This record gives sequence, C-alpha cells and structure tokens, in this order.
Amino acid sequence: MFTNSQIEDTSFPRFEEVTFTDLPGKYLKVVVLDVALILLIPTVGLLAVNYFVDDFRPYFLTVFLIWIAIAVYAMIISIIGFYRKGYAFREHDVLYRTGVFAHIVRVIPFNRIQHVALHEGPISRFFGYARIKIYTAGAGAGDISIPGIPKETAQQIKQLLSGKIQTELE
Amino acid sequence: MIDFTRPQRQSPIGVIVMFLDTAKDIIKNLWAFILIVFLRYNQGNYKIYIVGGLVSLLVLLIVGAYLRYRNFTFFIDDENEEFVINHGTLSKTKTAIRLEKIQQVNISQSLVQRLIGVFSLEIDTAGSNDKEGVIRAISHPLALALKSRLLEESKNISAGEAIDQTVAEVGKSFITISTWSLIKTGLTSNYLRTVALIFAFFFTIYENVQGFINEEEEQNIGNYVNVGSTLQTLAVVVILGFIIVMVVNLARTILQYYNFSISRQQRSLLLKFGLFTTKSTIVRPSRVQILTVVQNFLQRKTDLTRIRISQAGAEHDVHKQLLEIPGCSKAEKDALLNLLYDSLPEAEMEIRPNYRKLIQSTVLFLIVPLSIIIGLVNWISLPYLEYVPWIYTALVAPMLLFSYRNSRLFLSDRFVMVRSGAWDVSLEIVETSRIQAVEVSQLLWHRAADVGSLTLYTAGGAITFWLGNFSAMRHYVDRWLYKIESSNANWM
Repeated sequence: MFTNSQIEDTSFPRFEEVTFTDLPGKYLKVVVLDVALILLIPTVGLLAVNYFVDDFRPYFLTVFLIWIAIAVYAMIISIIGFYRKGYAFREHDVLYRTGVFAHIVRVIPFNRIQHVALHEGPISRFFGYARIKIYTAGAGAGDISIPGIPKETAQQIKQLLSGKIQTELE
Repeated sequence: MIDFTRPQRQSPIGVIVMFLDTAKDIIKNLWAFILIVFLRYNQGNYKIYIVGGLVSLLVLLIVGAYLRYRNFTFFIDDENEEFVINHGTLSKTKTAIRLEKIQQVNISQSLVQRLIGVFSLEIDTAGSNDKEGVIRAISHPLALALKSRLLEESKNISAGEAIDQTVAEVGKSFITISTWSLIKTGLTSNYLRTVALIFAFFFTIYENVQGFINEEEEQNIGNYVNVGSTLQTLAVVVILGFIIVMVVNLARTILQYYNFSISRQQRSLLLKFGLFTTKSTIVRPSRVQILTVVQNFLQRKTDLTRIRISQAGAEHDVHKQLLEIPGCSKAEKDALLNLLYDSLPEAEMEIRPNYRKLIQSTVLFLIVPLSIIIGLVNWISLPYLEYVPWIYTALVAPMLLFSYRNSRLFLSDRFVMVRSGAWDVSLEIVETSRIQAVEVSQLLWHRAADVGSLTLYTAGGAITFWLGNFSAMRHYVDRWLYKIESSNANWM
C-alpha cells in the first residue's frame, strides 16, 4: 500500500525554520582550553616515557608525530563543533543543533521535560559559563546538554524551563 | 483485615526458600568447581576435607537462612506514605519505597514455593532499578491483601484498576499459546542467543578444568584433537552443534514459556507463563512504549509471530521491562494490538531507504572488515584460512541485501513504525504520544539528495530509521510535535 501523495499541508509550525542562537563567541577559548587540557595528559605521558625508557627512543618520533596528528584533528573537530552548536526555544519546546559532519537537531517538548540541571566545569566556571542539562524520561540518550551559556542567562533559562514545566503540568 | 502498619515477617516455612535461594546462588556461581570436586572425589585423600566442608557449609546455610528469615520484616509507614522493608543479617538494610512510585506488584511462584505453598511478591517502581522490593515467602491471602493495599495507596493507579487487579486475579484468558506453538518458536528462533549461551557454558567448564588438569593430561587431549583434524570431523561438529543448539533452544523456550496465557483485566493484561517457575506480570497499555513484532522466514510460513513489549522503566534495567510473547498467530497478534491501541496501527506513508544506505552498510560491514580479514589472513597464513574471506562475504552480503530490502519507515499522525532486519524481520511500533525527544540528522553532503535519519526517544528505548526521505520525516516531526505540545497527551 505504497502511497506518496504530495504534502501540501504547511499549517504546522515548522521546526527547521527556527533561528538558532549560536554559542557566545567568547566561549571558544573555554572549548580550546578544555580540549588542550585533555590532550596535554597523554602528551606529557609520551614525553615522560621517552625520557625514562631507552628502548622507546627510536620509535618516539613516529609515535609522537602520529599523536600530534590525532591531537590536531581532535582540536579542529572541537572548534568546528563549537561553531555548529546552537539552541532555540519555541513556545512549547527546546531545540538543540549540533554535529560536525552531520546537521543534527534534537527537539524536546516542554511537557516531556523531567528536570533541568546546571553544570559548571572547572574552566567554564572560571570564565563564568554553565552547561544546561535538560532531562526527559527517555531511556538512554534522549537528553539535551547545551554548553557555553553565561551563568546569569543559564539561571534565567532554568527558571523559564521550570516555569514551563509547571504551567504545562497544570 | 491484616494490619500492615505493624512490621510483618514472612511465612515461617519460608526458611526453606531462603535456604534454597542461598544454596542456588552458591551452586550457580561455583557449579563447575563443585562438579570437578566431585569428579575428583575418589582421587587422592580429599574425601575427609570434602565431606567436612560440605557439612559445615550446610550448617552455615541453615543458620544463615534462619537469620535471613528472622531479620526480614516489612510494613507500610502510613505517616510517610512508604512501604518499608528491613533486612540483612550482618549489615542491616532498610529499603523505603514511596507508595506513589509503585507501578505494579507481581505475585509469582517457583517450583519450590509451590511445593511448600508460599508466593513471591515483587514491587516494581518507576525510575529506580533492581528488585528493591522482593518478599520471597508469603502466603497467598497475605500477598493479595498486601498487593491491594499497596496499589490502593499508589496514586498512579486509578481506584478501579486497583480493585480490578485483586478481585479478578483469574480473568478469562484470550490468548493461550499451545505447546505446539512453543515447539515451533523454539525450533525457529533465537539461534544466536543459544549459541552464545552454549559457548559461555563450555567456556566456564574449560576455564575451571584448566586449573585442575595437569600438563600430562593436556597432551593427551592434544593428541585426540590432532587425530581428527580433517574436514569430515568439522562437518560432524557443525551438524552436532546445530542439533545441540536446536535441542537447547527448544528446551529453553518450553521451560520459560510453558502454558503462556494472556488474560484481560478491564484495561490491563495479565501474562502468566513458565513450567517450573510460574511468572505472572501485568501490562498496562498506558505503560507500553515500544511494541516489536518479530517474524522470520520460517515463522512467516507457519503463521507464528513473536511480540516484544518494552515498557517505561529505569534506564539501567531495560531488560527487566522487556516482555516477550513467544509465539502467537496473526489473529492473536491483531487482537493484542487492538487491545493495546484500540485499533490496528496504520500508516499514511511508507518510506523506503535511499540506495545510499546500501552503499553505506556495504562499506561498513563488508569492505572494511574484508580488508582487515584479508590482511590478517595473509599475515598469519595457515591452511584453510584463505577461505575465511569468502565465507564472510557469503554470509554477510545476503544479510546486507535483505536488510536493505526489508528496511522501511511507516508514518502517520498516531504511529511510527520501523521495519528492519535480514533474517528476523522486526517491526517496531511507537505511538507518537510516547515520544520524549525527537532527533533528525543529515550528513552535510546529503542535503541536495534530501536524505536523512530520524530517531525517536521513548521511556522504553529509542527507534531509528536511517537514510530516507528527509522532507517527509521533518514534516511528520512537525505534526507529532504539534500533537504532543497542543494536547498534553500523556506518555504513561
């Protein structure tokens, strides 16, 4: 029963027409610092092994170059990822855009939100940014986690969402 | 009327259950070890130690079982609206379950429990994992009274349903799965799971035997293996393995699902099944998140359908929330769907996957693994190993083709259905009001082709369809969001 009638119905609000808010440009330094910190640990490890283990020295340059290539790749991906991320609030739902090689949009209706949490990493706290985590009852990974929101804005968004959850429940 | 607000103990005869439970745990974990100890019984001077060990173990078990019985109490705390279980011998544990969190209460009976006339009562909560509320030995009247008390207090359940569950413990069953259907199911499904199980079984034996056999014996085994390392033995092994898998599969299916019956209770379903251990569980249509209809080629020919129901539950414990109905006819399946959804799920639109999906899966599951296999084969270079790439291709290529051919997305305002699989073809059905979150994704270079993927998250897991008509998917996402957001439709 294959049907393929043309869809003329445009009366439904279209989620792809939403204008996404990009993450604040200043947050890029937090992303870079975060990634750099993670990449630093194996780098130091490699250098230490090179210093203490004599047998490793002939291979050091090859291994180190491969590692640098991986590190540069990870950094570039994170930076592109930063520019791709964006979020939007409509009257009844929250949208989050992400993806480096793909354009991924996740939507959570307000009446499906279980709770909202604010999370601050050490570096982002220093620069005054927070991550908003929006949880549903979805098993597995149906949650949204928006990084790089200035602390006050994050508080406001949390208030807004909590209010929305309340009104949706009534 | 029993006063549940005062601490209650289990049935005294339940000590036997405690004893056997502990014994079962020990045997389950150490069976291979015990087997070997017994095989070695006549060798050497271990006899006295073995007997002594067994006797002291027995005494320990009896004392332990008695203490487990003594220290286990349960009561309803009216003030805090909690059901409280105290247990533990050396370390005391107090488990408090909020009455409003209680989703369902299951009463079941194992063979041992049946012999001594007691029942198990399990409390199922939403959001938390594990069997935190289990009473192992309780008399039937007490179990029923407690169940009705608990469900009465639980705010999640309408009064009507609660009464219904207790009064109509025995409803008229509308689906009964015959032993013949079970035999058919056992012979036609779950091959891979059984193979894994048998493999695990032999691996456990092997691992335990390893420690005991000395090198001399090991050499003997080596000789046996050498003698028969021809293709003929291989064929015999394969056929023998196949028969073992069939028999084990059959036995397992019948043991687990014997006398499977589904009865209606107003708005819920009561499932009862099991040969030695009769399990009974209640499915409330409002809690069903994903319903999967599975059928393979052989089962299609013999009018046999397996149904899996995934319910809302703790994310760590999806398996506990997964119910399987082993084998029913098409008519019975339709009756069940009608009961759960008030109508048969229908689609307004059918989407086939784009040809890019076939290319993608071919690269991922054929070309990449093949190049690794060929590389390895050339590197190791053992006789017969050169056939491995061919065997792999012969197995995987048809699977890829069939799963591409079977792959389908069905859309409508009320239902989303995803069909997938090569041999076992499954149809996952999600009612759109169950959606928690929606995700659409499109690879950047697929934009011109209008191809993308869709994932729906529910409280019972997620379903995904890869690489299909993206505009149609997005259009339906708009419609579902509109429906969810405008109507406040409940997901549970």
